[in-house]
Parts: sequence; structure tokens; C-alpha cells
Amino acid sequence: MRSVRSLALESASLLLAGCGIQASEVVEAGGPAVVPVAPDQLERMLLFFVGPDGRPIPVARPLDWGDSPPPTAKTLAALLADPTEEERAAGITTRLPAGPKQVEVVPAAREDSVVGQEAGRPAGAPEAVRVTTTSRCRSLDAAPLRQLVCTTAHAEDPEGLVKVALTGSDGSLLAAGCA
Amino acid sequence: MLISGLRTRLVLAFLLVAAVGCGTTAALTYREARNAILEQAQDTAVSSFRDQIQELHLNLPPNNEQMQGMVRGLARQGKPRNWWVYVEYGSVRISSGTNPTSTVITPELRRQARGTPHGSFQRVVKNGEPYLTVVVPVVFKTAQTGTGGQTVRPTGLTFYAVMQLTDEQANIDAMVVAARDGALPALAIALVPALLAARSVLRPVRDLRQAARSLGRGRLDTRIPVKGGGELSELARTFNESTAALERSVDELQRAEARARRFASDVSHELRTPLAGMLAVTELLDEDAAGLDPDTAAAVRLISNETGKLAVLVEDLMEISRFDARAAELNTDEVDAAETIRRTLQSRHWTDPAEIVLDLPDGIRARLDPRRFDVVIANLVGNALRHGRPPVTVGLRAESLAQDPADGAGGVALWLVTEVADRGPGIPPDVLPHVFDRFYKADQARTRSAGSGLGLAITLENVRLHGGTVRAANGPDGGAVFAVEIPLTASEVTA
Repeated sequence: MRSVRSLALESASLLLAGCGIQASEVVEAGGPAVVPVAPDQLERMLLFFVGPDGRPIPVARPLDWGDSPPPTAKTLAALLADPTEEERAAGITTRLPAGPKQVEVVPAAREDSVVGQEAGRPAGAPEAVRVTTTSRCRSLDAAPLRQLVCTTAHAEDPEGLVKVALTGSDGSLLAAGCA
Repeated sequence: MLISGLRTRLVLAFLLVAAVGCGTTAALTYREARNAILEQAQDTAVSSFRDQIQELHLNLPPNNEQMQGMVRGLARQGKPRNWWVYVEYGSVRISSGTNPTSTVITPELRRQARGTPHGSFQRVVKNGEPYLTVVVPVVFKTAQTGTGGQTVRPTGLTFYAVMQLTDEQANIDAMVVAARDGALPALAIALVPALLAARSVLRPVRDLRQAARSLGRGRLDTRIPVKGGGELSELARTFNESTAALERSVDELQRAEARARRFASDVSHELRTPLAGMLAVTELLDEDAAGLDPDTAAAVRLISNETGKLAVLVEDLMEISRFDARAAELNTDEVDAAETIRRTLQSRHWTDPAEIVLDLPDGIRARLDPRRFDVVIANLVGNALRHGRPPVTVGLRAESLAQDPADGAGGVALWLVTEVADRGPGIPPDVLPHVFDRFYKADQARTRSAGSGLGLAITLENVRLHGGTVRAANGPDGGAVFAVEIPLTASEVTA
């Protein structure tokens, strides 16, 4: 009789504890919100800077010249320059080393093709874009490397799936994609 | 009502089963319903929040005015109810409320939003209030709009929504109340079959108890009606069989006893007539014994003596047979008790003051059967003279004795107490309980005695017939004391 009573008490307290709304764990529910960005892909250059938490933040700058899409080298030059004042106000920074740099880009498909002429290659090209800069790149952290790779990949390919091989003043890196 | 009572235990067991049933059902139903309510609220909130965010257009980076507009627009469209909307971009924090950041959103939710490109939610209880916090990170397609590009990149923009779950809380509380209000009447209703079941189980038990009690009162023909084939009817059947067997054996015993009594009675009757003839002859022989030679005279006196004893024995046997057959009658008369005793002693010639000391106050009148009272006194005094030593004291007094509680209200009644005491060695304690038994010999070695062995038994029966008692005890200064107590209102006592 005693054990029955304690059992009933326990179950009752369990029931009472289960009443009402409890706090829960974080639960995943569906995908993210997909939002159109203005200006559209053909009228913008996509630069990958870094947010205050170290994660990449893309910036879409409208093109102020007629040729679209712009050559990748020009996009990289814009990346290597610092963020604008408005962007900095939102906490956007760059991790790339300061100072004047020169950038050379060799598109992926054929090494002898004219620079900047073949931006619209088929997606998922197996070969890598070659980027050569005058700054160092082997000693760079993951964040600035991702800035260079992602900006180049999206300048070369709207889907950003092409691989990029970086060569700097201190040597070259294996080809990598924008993840 | 004791907890160990069968009815209580049955009812409690019934209620326990009902309570467990009700409780389990209510708890499971409640849990499912609560989860359904919460899931619906959560899913609706997350999907409608995401849908509304997807209506927006973004610049990268968005400026503060644009974000403020978005947040206000989202907060206005709050569905299914009002929510607070927060947006985080880089180092910018903007909200639809007064605080730029929420105190309800947990670090885990922020980490989740940064780690995976998924919408997420979390229920948070803060200050006893339940909140639903929702996070939706914003991504964009990198390819040109309408070309079907698949690659999405995070914009760095994250929207949070915080809403109170007060309606859900109210619904869930209402369910708890409903479950309780439903379970209690269900328990009350369960009490009815519980009591009915207890009654149906207890009725045979009660029947059995009544039957056992009636059996104890001597009604051996008591039987229980046997219904159905359950364990209880099995018990009733066994009870009936046992009762029938008992009735048979008792009946047989009674018949055997009756046969034995009739035999004793018949034998004494048959012996009486020849004995009367023998007595007459021995009296004649006794008178002539003086003229015979000494040996023959001794033999004749022995025969005469033994024949006299035999006659007494047969008379006593017949008397006791009448008592056994309940044929003894009480012929009462209002007499003076002292006078009656004196007459008894005189008729037996027990008048020597050295042997008999009398303490007989006059004036105590009682309704007695003079013949039977004479037998009682004669037996007791004769017994005292034979087995004790003189002087034998015969005392008489009227005494107020508490009535036997079994007889009535426990009042006080007047009793006639007659005491016969001797100065002998008294009665050994192991013999005391048997002195009124028939043919009981105090001394086993002494097989022959002057009495028939029935004297005290006949005394007891005679006193009983008067509605009284007779007790044997040892006096404080040695000697046996026999006390006869007869109610003075003997006329009201039926034999």
C-alpha cells in the first residue's frame, strides 16, 4: 500500500510538472528566407567583406561603368580597396593586408584565352581560375582568403562554383572553391 | 468504516483503477493536444514570418532607414498575433520596439542562426511568461533573377521575431481545467459501480454471517440460498453441506441420549415392583432375625440393608430420569422457610443439638415446593453428617443479590440463602468442580458409600427447578459449605 501511494504521488507530481508551456531547445524549422537583392546580378559587382563576427558579408555595388559584367581584375581591385564609409558604418571591414597591390587574373577554361573576355563559361568548370597578386597570400588567415576566393569565384561565375588558385608574393595555394 | 473492511477495500480499488485510467487518459490527451497547439503556433509563426521576409527587397548593405522600414512593416503584419521584430546586420541592431535587442532571445538561438542557413525557433519561459522566439536568416541567389540559379549566399542579415504565447497558455490551462473537471465527475460516477460491486460481493458474505449466527443460536436447519457458480456460492454450498452434516450428527446424538434415558427410566420402573416385594420380605426377616442363629441373622440384616439401599438408588434414578425427561413439576406453596427446614430435620430425627446447630430466623416466607425443598435440605444435611464432622450448622437468611446481568437490567432482587456447613476436612480443590456430578466418588478407593451417588445431583436439579443455584465451597475455618440460593419471587420463575 505504501509503495502504491508513493508511486501515485510521483506520477501526480510528474503530471503537474508537465503542465503548461515549457521552454524548449532550439528547433530547426524550414529553410532561410530567400530575398531578391538589388541591383541585379548583371548590374552589380559582388564583394565579400567581413562582418564584426568574422563571417563573410557580401556587398553588392552598382556598376558605374558601361561594361557589364566588369572584368574580374577590376572587381578584385575594388575588394582590395577598403569598404566605403557607409559599409564601415554597418560594421563591415576587410581583413586583407593594406597597401597598393597589383592583381592578374587568368580565367579557368583556357590559359591562352583573352583576359576578361569569357566570363559566361558553363557552370562547374573543372579547372581553376588563376589569380596572381603582388601581396602575400600563403600567410593569410582563412577569412581574407575566403574574401579573395569568393569574390573571384562570383566575378567569374554567377553561381560562384568555379575554383580559384591563388599565387602571391610568398608562393601559391591549392585551388579552392567558395564554400 | 475501517480501511480493512471488504467494502472499503473494494471501493478504494475501484476508485484507484478509475483514477489511474482517468489520469492516464487525461494526461496523454493533454500532452498530445498541448503539443498540437504549440506545434501549430510555432509552424504558423515561422512560416508566416519567413513568407513576409521573402516579400522584401534588399540592397547590400541595406541602410538603416531601409532596415527600420522593413522591421516596422514586418511588425505591422504580425500574424497570427503581434510580435516584436528584431534585425541584426553587421554591427547594426534595429527593432520594432524600444530596445534594439531582445532580452528573451537566447545565445543558443543566435548561434543556431549563424551556424546553419535554416529558420529556427525556441520556446523561452521568462518571468513565468512563455515566449516563442523565431529566427530567420536571409539569403540571396547569386545568379541573375529568373535564370534558375541555385547558389545562395547569406546576406548577413538576420531577422528575429518574439511573440508571447498567452493564447496558447490560456488554451492549455483550459485543457487542464477541463481534464480535472472531467476526471472528478468520472471518479464520482465510478463510485456507483464500485458500491454496487461491493454490495453484490458483500451480500453473500452478510447472508453467511447471519446464517452462522442463527446456527450458533441452535437453529441447525439454517441454509443459505446458493446462486450462480462463483467462489462465494461455492462457500455457501460448503456451508450448507457442513450444516446438514452437523444437523445429522446432533440429531443422532440426541436420539441416542433419549434412548439411554428412556432405558434408565424403564429399568428403574421395572426394578421398582420386585424391590417393593423384596423390601416387605426383608422387613419381615429383620423382625425375625433376633430368633435366628447369629450367622444367619447377620446375613439377613446385610440383605435387608442392601435391599434398602437398592430401593433408595432406584428411587433416585427414577427421580433423575424425570428431571432428564423434563417431566419434573414444581408444586409451589407459600411457606415459612425456617419452619420447613425444621420439619425436615425433625422427620429425619436430626435434632441432637451437639450435631445440628440451627440459625433459622422466623418470618421469611417463600414460594417453594415443600417436597423438593425437603429433599434439598435432607440431602445437604445428610451429606454433611456422613462426610463431615459435627456440629453441622444450618443457616437461613434473605439477601439482596445483584441480579445476573444476562437475565435483565442488572437490578437487585431478594434471594433466599440457605447454608449448610460442617466442621469436617472440607472438599479437596480438585473435587470441588465435580461434587454435583452423578455417581462421582471423591475417593476412588472407596467404592461403597452410604449414599446412592445421586444425592447432590438431585439437589442441584431441584434447586434449578426453583430457578436458583447451589454452590459448594470450603469455609474459612475448614469444613465444606453448601449454599442454596433461591429467588424469593420464586412464583414468577417458571421451571
